[in-house]
Amino acid sequence: MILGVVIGRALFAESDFDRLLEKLWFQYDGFVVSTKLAALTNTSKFALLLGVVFIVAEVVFQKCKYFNRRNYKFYRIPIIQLILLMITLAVASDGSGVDYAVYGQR
Amino acid sequence: MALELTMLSMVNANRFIRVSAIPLVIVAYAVFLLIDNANDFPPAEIHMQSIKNIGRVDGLLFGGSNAVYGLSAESLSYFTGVRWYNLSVTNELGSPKRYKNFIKDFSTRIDRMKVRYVVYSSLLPYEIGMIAAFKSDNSEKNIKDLEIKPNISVLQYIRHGWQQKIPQRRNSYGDLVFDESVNCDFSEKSHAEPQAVREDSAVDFLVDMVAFFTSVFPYASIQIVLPSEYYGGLSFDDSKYKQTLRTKFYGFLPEKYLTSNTVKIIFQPPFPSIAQVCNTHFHANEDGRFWRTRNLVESMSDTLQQQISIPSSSAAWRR
Repeated sequence: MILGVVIGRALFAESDFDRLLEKLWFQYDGFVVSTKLAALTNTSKFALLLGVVFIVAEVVFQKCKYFNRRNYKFYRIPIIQLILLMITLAVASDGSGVDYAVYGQR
Repeated sequence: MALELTMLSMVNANRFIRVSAIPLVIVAYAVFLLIDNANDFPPAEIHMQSIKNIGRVDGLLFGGSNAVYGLSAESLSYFTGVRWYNLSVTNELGSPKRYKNFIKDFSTRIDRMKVRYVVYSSLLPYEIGMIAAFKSDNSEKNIKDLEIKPNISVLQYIRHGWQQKIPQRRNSYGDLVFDESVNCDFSEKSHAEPQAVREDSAVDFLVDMVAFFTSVFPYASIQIVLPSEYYGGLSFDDSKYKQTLRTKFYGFLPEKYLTSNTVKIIFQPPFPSIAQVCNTHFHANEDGRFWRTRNLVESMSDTLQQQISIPSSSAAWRR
């Protein structure tokens, strides 16, 4: 059961088989990763930053009343939903997000 | 009492956001998409208008934006002494089906039996996941249909206004005109990360394109070109990938193409200088375009039947 969940999550991390194999290869590039990050587009950098902020906020503000016992439900508060929607629509363009699976995005 | 009032106002605020604010934002975005779409002039239509003045064409350039920016039909015409036309379009119209339909449509408006050279320059074999993404779009929708994503994001519109919507111009050879509509602002920090997809996917895709081109232009020699990119200071030995891809490509080609020597795969070298790059690592500027085109002519020298003359610089060619 546990193994099935792990394998299933790994398989569904990507909609493209080539890219899935690339990810499962777990290639370690060391400090080259900083060069790779610098080469990303501003939209990709912003998306990464947003993801990091979401996770860090859960840890840093875990005792805050809006986060306490609300695992990720903070982002379901209407005003937060509105802000997220506005951010998403503001940065969406034809050149962003080709066909990445939702799990891959997470 | 005060707590009840606060709770009530919170409920009202939440209700207002759900019922009014969020739908309003969505409607505003839809209006923005409509305006964005109305201002978009499909690149395919530019070619369809140019075709009326072309007359006879001996060679055709196909591909995505790498070929729009990086290859010149005018230079090729000068080097080879025969008439070329650049039929490349950004993102290859988003799907192979759509691009093939466009090429078929175009071919009915010229004498396709007299086309002797076809160059197809695609970056897809270098982009992980792009071949699958490109193939997965099987929609029959017209390129004028409304997309849910704009060409330029709302944020970019706010930052740069409408100036980015100046349509790019093509000359009578179908080449991009590097004028104020082309903003070459590439910086060193945004150079490419070299990557290569699995050879089998790339080979399947390229062989399929060869079959398509030979069916539309039966008397043409087909040159499959993997374009130049700019890698900055990174050292990247992709010779093994290229050799494997080359071997598999010729291995998968039907016998008839091998015996008639009509199909060739060409790997163009990386751009040696940032001074040859325009706005992304695979878009050449005017000098880079001359450099790439010249390199292509050298690679095609055994295919080209005409006497070719290659000046050493773009300045010499312009004189």
